[in-house]
Amino acid sequence: MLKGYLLVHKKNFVRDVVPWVGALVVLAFAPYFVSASLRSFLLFLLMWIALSQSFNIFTGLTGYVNFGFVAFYGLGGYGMTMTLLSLNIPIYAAMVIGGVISSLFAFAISWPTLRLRGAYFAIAMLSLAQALFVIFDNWNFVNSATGYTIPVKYYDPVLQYYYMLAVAAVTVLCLYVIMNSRLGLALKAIKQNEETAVSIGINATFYKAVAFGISAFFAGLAGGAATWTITIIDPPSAFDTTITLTAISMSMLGGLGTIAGPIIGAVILYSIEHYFGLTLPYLHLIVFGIIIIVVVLLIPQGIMGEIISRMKKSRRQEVGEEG
Amino acid sequence: MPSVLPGALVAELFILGLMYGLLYGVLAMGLTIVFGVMKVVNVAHGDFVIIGSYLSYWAFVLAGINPILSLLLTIPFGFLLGALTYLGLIRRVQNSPELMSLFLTFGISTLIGGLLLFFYSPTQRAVPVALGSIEYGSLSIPVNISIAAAYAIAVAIALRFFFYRTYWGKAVRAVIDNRTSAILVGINPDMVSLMSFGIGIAIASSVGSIVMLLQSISPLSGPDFTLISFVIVVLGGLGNPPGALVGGVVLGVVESLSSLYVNAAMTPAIGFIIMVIVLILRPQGIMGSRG
Repeated sequence: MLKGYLLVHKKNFVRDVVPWVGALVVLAFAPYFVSASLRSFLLFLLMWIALSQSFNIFTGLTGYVNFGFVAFYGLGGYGMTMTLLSLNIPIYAAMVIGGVISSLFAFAISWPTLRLRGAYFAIAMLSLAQALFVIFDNWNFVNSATGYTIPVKYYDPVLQYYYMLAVAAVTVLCLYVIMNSRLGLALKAIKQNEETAVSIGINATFYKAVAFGISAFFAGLAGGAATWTITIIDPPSAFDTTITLTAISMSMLGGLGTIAGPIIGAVILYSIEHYFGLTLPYLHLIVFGIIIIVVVLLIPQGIMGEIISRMKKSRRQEVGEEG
Repeated sequence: MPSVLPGALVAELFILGLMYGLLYGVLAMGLTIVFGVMKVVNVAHGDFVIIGSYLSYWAFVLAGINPILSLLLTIPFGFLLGALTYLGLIRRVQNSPELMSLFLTFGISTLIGGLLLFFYSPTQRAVPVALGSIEYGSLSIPVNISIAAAYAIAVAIALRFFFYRTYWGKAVRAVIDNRTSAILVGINPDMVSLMSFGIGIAIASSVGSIVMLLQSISPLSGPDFTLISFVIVVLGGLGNPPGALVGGVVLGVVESLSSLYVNAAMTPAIGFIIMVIVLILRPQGIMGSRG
């Protein structure tokens, strides 16, 4: 019965699953045969894969633009750090708690915010992220502007790599499961035309909130894993709008609403940022800005989106000729 | 600087809030006109403000032109920049889903910020004009914000004249009201969009010049102004210019008076809370109409 609920239509197991498992295996063994700097590169690449995919889980599937995305990342980071430092629990537990805190926050704000139409919602989320920054900056409970530092005893670069790999893998897997489930179908309907979806009985508010919460959870997980690796957290770094910007750029370039899209976008953009962004400062802002503009004007569905569109079109043409 | 008497302090805060509210309200009018005409949410609105600020800054540093005089530069420049941006970029997403215009203007915002950072570095820039304050009985009101408020009122009057006494102004109102009907009576929607975007950016850049009288700015200050404009537009209703002015004043006064109780740095949080409360109670904004 669960299978029936989760799988809407049968997939070709070998074609769909093997490449992903293969990639996972390669990445899992990578630390054994790559240099420390390449491993570090892969770690942050995996972080961006996790972040752009969790952004995709909500914005890609519902069409609502979450300009305040970094809020989930920051809350997850703070959640992980504060529980780790005060409760002395294993790191993975702290990370999960960070993710849970983030998604609880998402559920809490979902009632006032998810009832807003597209533009209003985007604006509200942007100002929410700003508000959180300002609140954390002045709030003693989270150490205000000083933030926290994770002590050296927790430092373990290889383990940090594996945790980030796990977070990225689980995020992608979850996206796959959602897209092939009834939740995914409902979200697709909502994205196409919310009013119509509601009129045929889809509880839009509920499904949107679920996607919102799941997106927040994985962003929070990634935030916790990232904070552990970076070892410091403070309001400007935790609620940095550049993070939202980067996640948006990667998802858009690769293709919002697709599974492979944000991964491709992350690989391209993070490689550019890593190998070229270090020489000229702020250049990556200019590059990302241009990329977003070009994508919107020329390839609005992103790389994967365009590829999938063309495949569908050619398949339709084939069938037309035969029938 | 504010006086000690509590009654006078509240009155001063009220007036200051009113004046800031007028300035930001007029800025928000530019944003809401653009949305009303083209259904485009310009996420880069605040960045165009900063472009105006930098223009005034360099006019002052290189040629000794004071910010008020530089308005003669920034207003036409802003209009031209807006027209070009519309022709080159915005026009293509007018008929696409709202999502696309959000992303496009977000990209433009990022690009502007990046370019300004690249050329001018993140250093805060300020124009050192000390204008002092005027005393009204027991109240002390700074001159610079008074000038800003006067400018805002002038713009509001000019816009009112434009919207009700000129052909193109009426055309803009027609398109905001019902685009299809406007086309049916022979109005060129493309031209109206062009003018509206030009006006919106002209307003933004000119406010940027005025801002140099009030505070320092940096390439990263753009989003702050965008956010304020957004909150105001939400309060007043998207596509409702008079609403933007009212919303601006409301926000200005509330934020100003709230500084009596809360740390001044928390103003974005207050803005957000106000916005959410208004949206819950009246999803169409304070002065918006249903649907």
